Amino acid sequence: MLIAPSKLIESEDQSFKGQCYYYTLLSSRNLQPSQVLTEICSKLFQDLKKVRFQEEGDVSIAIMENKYYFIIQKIDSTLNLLIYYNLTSESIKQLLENTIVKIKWLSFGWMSPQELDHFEGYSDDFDVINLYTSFNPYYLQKKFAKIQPELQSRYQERWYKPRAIEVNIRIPKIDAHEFLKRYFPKKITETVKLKFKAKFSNPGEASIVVDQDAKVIHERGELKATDKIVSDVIQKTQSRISEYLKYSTSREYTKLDDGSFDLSDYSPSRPFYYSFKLPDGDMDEFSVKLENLLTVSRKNIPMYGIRLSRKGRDFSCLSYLPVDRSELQISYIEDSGTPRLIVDPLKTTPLGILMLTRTLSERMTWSTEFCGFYEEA
Amino acid sequence: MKKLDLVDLHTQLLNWTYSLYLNKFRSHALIANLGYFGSPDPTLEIQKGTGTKEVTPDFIATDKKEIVQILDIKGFDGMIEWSNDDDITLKIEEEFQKISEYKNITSASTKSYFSKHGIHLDSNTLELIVVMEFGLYSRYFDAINKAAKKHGVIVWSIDITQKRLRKHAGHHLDKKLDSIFDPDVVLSIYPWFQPLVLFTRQTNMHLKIFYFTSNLISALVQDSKSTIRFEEIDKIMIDSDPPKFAHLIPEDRSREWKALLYEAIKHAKILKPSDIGPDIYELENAAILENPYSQHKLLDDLAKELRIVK
Repeated sequence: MLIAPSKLIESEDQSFKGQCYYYTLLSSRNLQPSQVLTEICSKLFQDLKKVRFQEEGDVSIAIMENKYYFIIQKIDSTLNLLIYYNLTSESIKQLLENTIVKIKWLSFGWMSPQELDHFEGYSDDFDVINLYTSFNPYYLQKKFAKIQPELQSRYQERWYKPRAIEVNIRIPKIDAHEFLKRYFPKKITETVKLKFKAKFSNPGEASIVVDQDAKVIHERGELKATDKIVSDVIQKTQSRISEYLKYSTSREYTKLDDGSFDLSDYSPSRPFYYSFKLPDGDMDEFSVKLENLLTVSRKNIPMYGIRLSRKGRDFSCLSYLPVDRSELQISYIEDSGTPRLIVDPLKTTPLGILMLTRTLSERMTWSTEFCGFYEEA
Repeated sequence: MKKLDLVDLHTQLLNWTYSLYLNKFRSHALIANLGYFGSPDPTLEIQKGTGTKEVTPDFIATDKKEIVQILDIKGFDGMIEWSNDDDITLKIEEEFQKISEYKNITSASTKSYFSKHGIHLDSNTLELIVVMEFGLYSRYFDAINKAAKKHGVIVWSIDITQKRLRKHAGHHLDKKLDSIFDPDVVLSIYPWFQPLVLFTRQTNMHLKIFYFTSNLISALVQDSKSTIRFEEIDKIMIDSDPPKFAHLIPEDRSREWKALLYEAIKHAKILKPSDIGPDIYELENAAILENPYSQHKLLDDLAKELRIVK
C-alpha cells in the first residue's frame, strides 16, 4: 500500500518548501526498506555515524545531519519508493543516483515513451511544458550521411556508440506537436524517440517532471499535487511487473531432512518474443547490432552474453542480466520479413524482462514491441 | 527452438523420463497419475560378499506400495564408430550385465531412501528399466532385445523428434503401467524445452563447468564482489534455476562443487585461491566487475575452450 508521499514529508517537516525527488526502485531481493536504505547510505557516506535511522512499519527514514532526508517506502516485494529531499542548497542528488546505479541488484523503474505521453494529459492545452526528446544518430547517419563506400568501415564502429541528438524546448502544450512536426522530418519524430520529459502545472499548483527512469521531481508548489503523479508512476510500474510475472520461471522445492530438495511443482517459463518494425530494409546491420547489444557488454547496458551460433542473419545467443541473474537463450529469426527475437528463459523474473524490454526499446532504434508468448510453429 | 543445444543427450533423456513421474494430476504425468513417485540420482547399496558397495543409478521410482523401479539411461557412447557387429553385441551384453547388478540393491537402502521422501514401503520388488534414444534402439534392436530378455530388463526408448516413449522388451509387474504403452506414450511436459534438472551425475562435464562458472560470475557481478567463500557456492547454485544438484544431499553437492571449482581454477582459469584465508577464492581478473566487456570476453573464451560454441 502506498502511503501518500506528501504525508511522509509533512510529518518530517511541516514547513517543507523545495525540490523533492521520487525514485521508483526495483529490487531483485525482497528486503526490508531499512536494509535497502542502509545499503545505499553505506555506499554514499563513509561515516554512517552521522546518519540517523528511523523506522515505522514499511517505511524507513534516514536523516543526514538534519539536512538531507531519504525515505524508503516498501510497496511490494520488488518495488520500493525512495524519496529524497534536502533543506540546504547543497545537493547530493547526482551522488545518490550514481550510487544506486552501482548496486547491481537494484534498478530504476522505467516509463516507456508511450507511458510518458500519458502524463501530458495532466497539463492544460495552454500550459507551458518542457519537451525533452532525443534522437538516435545511428539512424540519422545511416539515412542522411553521404559516406563513401571505402570509408564505411571506418565509420561503422562509431555508429554503435550510443549518442543522441537532443531537443529541449519550452512551449505551450497545444503547440508542442505542431512544432516537432514542422521542424523535424516525419520519419525522425515517429520512429526514433528515445527520451521524453514533460513538465506539468497540473494537478494543483505544482511543477513536476517525470522522466524515463520513472523518476518524479517535484520542483515547486503543493506536495499533494505530486502524489497523484507518483502513484500513477507506481501503478504503471506495478502493472508492467504483473504482466511479466506469467513469463517468469517457477519451480517449487521441498527441503528434506537430509538437506536435499524434492521438486514438488514446476511451471516452466514459456518463450516470449519481441518484434521490430524497420522503416528501411537494411536487415543485415540490424541483426549485427542486435547481436552486439545482447552479447558484447558495454557500460550502461545491463547485460552480457555469448553468441552460440549464426547463420546468415539468424543467430542465437545466451545472455545474462546481473540485476536478477537472469539466464536467457535468445534467437533471432525473420518471419516473413519481420525481425523477431525469441527469448527462452532458463531463469528470469519480471525485473529481468523489464530490463530487457527497456534496453531493446531504447537501444534498438526502431520500434520494439513486446509480443508475449511465442507458440512454436 | 534450439534450447537443447545446451543440454546433452543423457540429461535430455533423464528429463523426459522424470517428467512422467512429476506433478500428479497433470495430464502428461502419466506414471505419477498411477501413484508413482520418482527421483533422479539416488545413492544406493548393493550386497557384495559380506559387505556392501555404493551404486548410483540414474533414476529411482516406486508405486509407493511394493514395486521399486531402477532406471538407467544408456547412450552406448562411441558405438556408432564400431563397424564390427560382434563388437556391438558384446558391448551391449556387457552394459546389460552391468545393469543386472542392480538386482542386488539391498531393500534396506531403497527403503531408507524413500523414507526420506516420506514414503514407507512394506516390501520391495525390484524392476530394472533401461532408457535409450529411439534411433539407437532401432539400429541395434536385435542385440538389445536379446540381452534384455537374458537379464530380465525392460527397455524403453524415447523418440526425441516425435516426442514418443515406447516399451520394447519385458513386462511391468504393474499391469496398469504396462497398459499405458499401448499405443505409444506422447511426451509433453517438456513442451518449452525447459529442463527439470540441469545437473545430473552423468551430465557432460563441459556443460557443467560452463553453467557452474557462468552462475558464479553472474553472482559475483551482481554483488560486485571479487572473492567468494567455498560455503557460499552451494547457496548460489541452489538459487539458480533449475537449482543445480538440488536433489543430492549437501555432502554430495559439496563434493561436486569441489570438482567443478577445481576445473574453474585449473583449466578455465577464472578463479584462484585467495591469500586472505583458506577456502576463499578470488577472481583471476577482478576487472570483470568494473569493465563490462570482460564479462563477455571471459564467458566467450570459456565457451570456446570447452567447445560449447565454435
